Amino acid sequence: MFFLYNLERRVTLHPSYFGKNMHELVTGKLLKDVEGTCTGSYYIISIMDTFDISEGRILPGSGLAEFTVGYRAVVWRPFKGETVDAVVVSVNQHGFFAEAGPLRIFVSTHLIPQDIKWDPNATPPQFTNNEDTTIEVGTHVRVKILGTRAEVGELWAIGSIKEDYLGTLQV
Amino acid sequence: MAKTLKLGQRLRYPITISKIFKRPGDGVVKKEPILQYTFRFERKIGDPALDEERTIFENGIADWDSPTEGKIKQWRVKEGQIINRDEEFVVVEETCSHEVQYAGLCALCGKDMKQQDWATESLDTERATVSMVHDNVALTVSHNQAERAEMQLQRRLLKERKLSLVVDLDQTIIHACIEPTIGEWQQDPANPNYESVKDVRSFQLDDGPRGLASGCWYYIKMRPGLLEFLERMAEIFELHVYTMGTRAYALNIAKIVDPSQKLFGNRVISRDENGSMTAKSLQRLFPVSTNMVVVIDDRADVWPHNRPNLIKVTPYDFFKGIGDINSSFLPKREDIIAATPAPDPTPPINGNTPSGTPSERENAVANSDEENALLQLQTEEQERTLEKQLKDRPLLHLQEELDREDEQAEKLSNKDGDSQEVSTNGHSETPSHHQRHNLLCDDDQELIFLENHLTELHRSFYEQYDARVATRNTEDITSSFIPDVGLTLNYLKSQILRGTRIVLSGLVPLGVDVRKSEIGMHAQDFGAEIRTRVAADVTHLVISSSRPRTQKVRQAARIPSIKIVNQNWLADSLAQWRKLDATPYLIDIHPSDRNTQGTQEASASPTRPRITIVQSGHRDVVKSQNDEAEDGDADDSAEEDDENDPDDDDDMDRFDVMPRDLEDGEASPVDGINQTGWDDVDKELQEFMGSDAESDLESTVTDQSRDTDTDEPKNKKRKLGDADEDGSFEASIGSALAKKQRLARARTTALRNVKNIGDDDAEGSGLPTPMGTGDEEDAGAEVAGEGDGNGISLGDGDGAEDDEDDEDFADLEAELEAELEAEGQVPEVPIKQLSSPSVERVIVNGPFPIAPFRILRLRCFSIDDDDDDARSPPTYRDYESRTPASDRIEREIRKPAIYCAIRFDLIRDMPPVGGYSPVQYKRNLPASGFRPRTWFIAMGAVMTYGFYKYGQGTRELRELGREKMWSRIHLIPLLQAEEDRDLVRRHLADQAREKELLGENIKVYNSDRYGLPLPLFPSFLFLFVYGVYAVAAFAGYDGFVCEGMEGIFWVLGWGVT
Repeated sequence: MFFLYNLERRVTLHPSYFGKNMHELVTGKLLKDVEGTCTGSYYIISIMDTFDISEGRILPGSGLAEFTVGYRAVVWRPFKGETVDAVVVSVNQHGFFAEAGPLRIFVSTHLIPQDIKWDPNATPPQFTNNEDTTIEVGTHVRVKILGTRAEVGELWAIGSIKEDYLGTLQV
Repeated sequence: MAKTLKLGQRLRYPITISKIFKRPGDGVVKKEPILQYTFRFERKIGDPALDEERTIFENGIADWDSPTEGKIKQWRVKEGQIINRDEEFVVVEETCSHEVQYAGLCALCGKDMKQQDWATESLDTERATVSMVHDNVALTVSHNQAERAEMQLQRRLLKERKLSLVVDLDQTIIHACIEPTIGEWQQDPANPNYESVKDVRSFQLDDGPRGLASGCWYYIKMRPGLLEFLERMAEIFELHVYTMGTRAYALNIAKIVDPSQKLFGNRVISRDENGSMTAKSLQRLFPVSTNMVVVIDDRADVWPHNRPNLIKVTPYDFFKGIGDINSSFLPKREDIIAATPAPDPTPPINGNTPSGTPSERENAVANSDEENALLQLQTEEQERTLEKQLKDRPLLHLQEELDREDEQAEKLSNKDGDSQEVSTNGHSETPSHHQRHNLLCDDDQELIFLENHLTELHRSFYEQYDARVATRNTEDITSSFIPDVGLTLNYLKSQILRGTRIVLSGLVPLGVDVRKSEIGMHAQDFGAEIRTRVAADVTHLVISSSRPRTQKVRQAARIPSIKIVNQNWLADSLAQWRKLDATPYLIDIHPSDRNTQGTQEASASPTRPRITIVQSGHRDVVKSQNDEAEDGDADDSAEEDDENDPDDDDDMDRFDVMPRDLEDGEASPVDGINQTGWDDVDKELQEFMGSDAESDLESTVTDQSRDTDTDEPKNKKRKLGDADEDGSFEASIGSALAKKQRLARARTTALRNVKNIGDDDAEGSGLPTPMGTGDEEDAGAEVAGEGDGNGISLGDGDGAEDDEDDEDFADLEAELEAELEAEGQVPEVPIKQLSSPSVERVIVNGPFPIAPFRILRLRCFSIDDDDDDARSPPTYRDYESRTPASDRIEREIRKPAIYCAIRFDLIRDMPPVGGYSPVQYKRNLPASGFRPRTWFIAMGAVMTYGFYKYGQGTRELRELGREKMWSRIHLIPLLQAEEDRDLVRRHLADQAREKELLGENIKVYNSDRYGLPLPLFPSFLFLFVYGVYAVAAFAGYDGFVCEGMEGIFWVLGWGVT
């Protein structure tokens, strides 16, 4: 789910950048450092604006200036039970991996409807029920997230398509 | 998914089950108590410090919490039961068995597997540890799941009558390099290599190596016939890619080799998913059974656990000298067999081949930090290697070299006119009309053989399988029915060279067990028996063509049944899976190595083609100058060799080698001296000896062998190599003559050369310098007797013993003279080679700078290549001595090996003429600032002034103090009067109040001793005293003033009383 979230971050600036446009530099550095990262439980998708850049404080020892920047960002946090659309990136006999943006979701064969079976002989290998559904690399699927686990900088998720209205999307 | 739970090790047995909370059928969640039990335990109470500790037994009650979630299925214990040890007690039907996990998440139920609590004894992540997916290591499955998946796979393959084939990329089906030269050649149709490189494919990697090599082009050459090969193989195999390159690299190559993904599909595994940087393992892909898996790889050592399933492929080396660009992480390539028959025109530039980079084995790097550091190191290593390739452009250099050679060849052919076919380093395929020869040629045939092998293997496997399941329904195939392709492969391979017994020589480095070496193991896989010693039942001796003269060759040459072949026979046989006819690979052995009982046996084996082996090193020279005319001699000496030839004894062997070297000596560059000059020399020597036999002082080195020549003509004969006496060498070692020689040598080694320029000048002795003419030397010899006077200290003191030796010395010296003479006084050609059984050949290196004291340096080459190992350069040792008659040198030289003392270098070690310049030791610091005395005086002046001012100040302070005191003294009476007045006023006021209250003033004290307060004393008295005092003060009566205070007090005191 997406949120607008007020966050704060300390940005350091090298002394060689001290000057008139320091605030732009700080903002730029913030964008570079923060956008697209995963903090552990959510991804920071985009920074909307910065609303509070503090006075810079020189850090003793290094000479870097530290600014505390308050900013507003669009973050995405996958929740257990959330349904997301994803693209299949890899298929093997135990299931398939799908990517919903930065999040990689694994859907195992147990969470794929019984009639969709692994077919290793197809080119490329795929899950198929030999009718309307074929899951191969590049297929768009709608997946329900069953569980997530987070470590610093990374998120993993387990998904399922074994429910109504889940599975391949008609493109 | 029923799971049986055990009570656990940590309980205090015996325990009594007191209550069971859950009935069968009840659901439990994690950490929920399902059982209560009691147990007895002992406890110590009391104060240990007072020794009042005692043990008591207590009953404990505890709950047993469920480590898992599910439903109770069956209890195996009853309430009240006593349990004495850890045992299984309940069966739980688990909600989820967590058999497939992805990055710590159960892929079935989505729960976090990394969570840990008190209830579980083992981590949930341990339920799924097997990683068997090609492109992801985070996805793990349980062993059961893996078994099921693999069984499924095997069933499917059996149904399709296929096997799994794991294919390596680098140097197996393709050859990659990043040398930009390839790109240039591709653009240039005029380049001789254009034909070869025009179908080379290329790509760039986004996440390739960093640094200089980033964004470089990878050039990929597919092995000839690869696409057809793979297509045909895909019909009977399911193909997997397993490479040590990165994933991006592997995918790019898969895209080139298999653009439609029909062959490999997504079955690509790379270094990134392998889990190990140094070894590949089939268990990574087929964790349970490798019964149906075949591997083709160019390196056997990276498959330490899967050798049986491996078909080793001859490395594809299209870009010469590049090697495997992804092998930085692997151990160094060990197999030395160069299977390509066309040798490289130049050896690959060292350091450009990544296989030459040192990389360590994986062995037991337990510490993960260390491992990381190692990986870091290797990554850097690889980057460096790639950068080097980009910078150095080895291929370009090789081609340039080839072009140069072509030019030379062209010149040569122009000169020769008709001889158009000049040898061009084995590149015979190059069209003759081409001006330049191409470096890269695309003539690899390995895939044809490989296809045959694989087809054969497939056929053999399914034959076995069909035989096994013929009677059974295909539905109930279990893994036990599947034959092991590894065994099949082993069987097929072991038939190839069965019955051959092979000895390797010069192919395995010394100190490595031949049977454990890469080449040895490979040969053994093919059924060959590896022997370490040459024996009669050995069938082949495989030798390195670069070292065709080893002890083993000599031994094997005596047994006609042994075929002596070069390593290509073995390599080709192993590559083609055929026991090839040895004839084209036979090596012509050196005449002196050949086992001939006279000449007849040499001619008895005419079938062997005579291939002249050009050797490198010093022997080369010998060989090149050797004439056919000497063959007879060579044979003769070889005969002697053989008769002396002992089998195993090293020392004997060294003796044995001697005569062969004699023969070499004859053919040496100093043949002229040896054969023609010696007669003259001998004559001259005779003269010389006649003229001055007592000469003791020589500035040159002598050789004992000449000595023996003159003494015993017989020895000389032997030296020339046409005598038959065997074992005379041993005899001579022990003989008195040899002893003499040793003595003489000992003296020769150091002191005999001692000379001093200064002595020469001072005494005018005219000692012979090496530059000197014969006359001078004669003169020197005459003066020699005076020896004592010189700084030379020749040890004339021990004259008695020397007498015996003097003759020898004289001979030696004389001989040296003769030699110099023979060489026309050119000291720069200082070689003399003498060979005799008496050990060393001495080569005198020109005129010595004469110094009072110097180092003697001997360089000894030991030419004992009788050893069967392949050490390339002749080893030599330097001996150095500062002492006369060094024992060490003598001892070393006396060893009956072939040492030849090559050079005597005399190194000056003493101060220069006139001594060293004096050492400047005086301190000569620059003067600046005032002199110390000035400073002293100035300090004194400043201090004096300071003390003066200080004194002044003190005086003034004292004055001020005095002033202040007096001003106070003058003030005190006034202040006192004021206070007194106040006191009186209060007293009167008190009395007034008292009177007002009481009506009258009553006496407070019934005593008449009460007096009025002081101020109430008649004031005139006070004023009088004060007046007197004031008058006195104004009068300036000092004495009175000084005692004024006392006076006042006296007056006051009197007043009080």
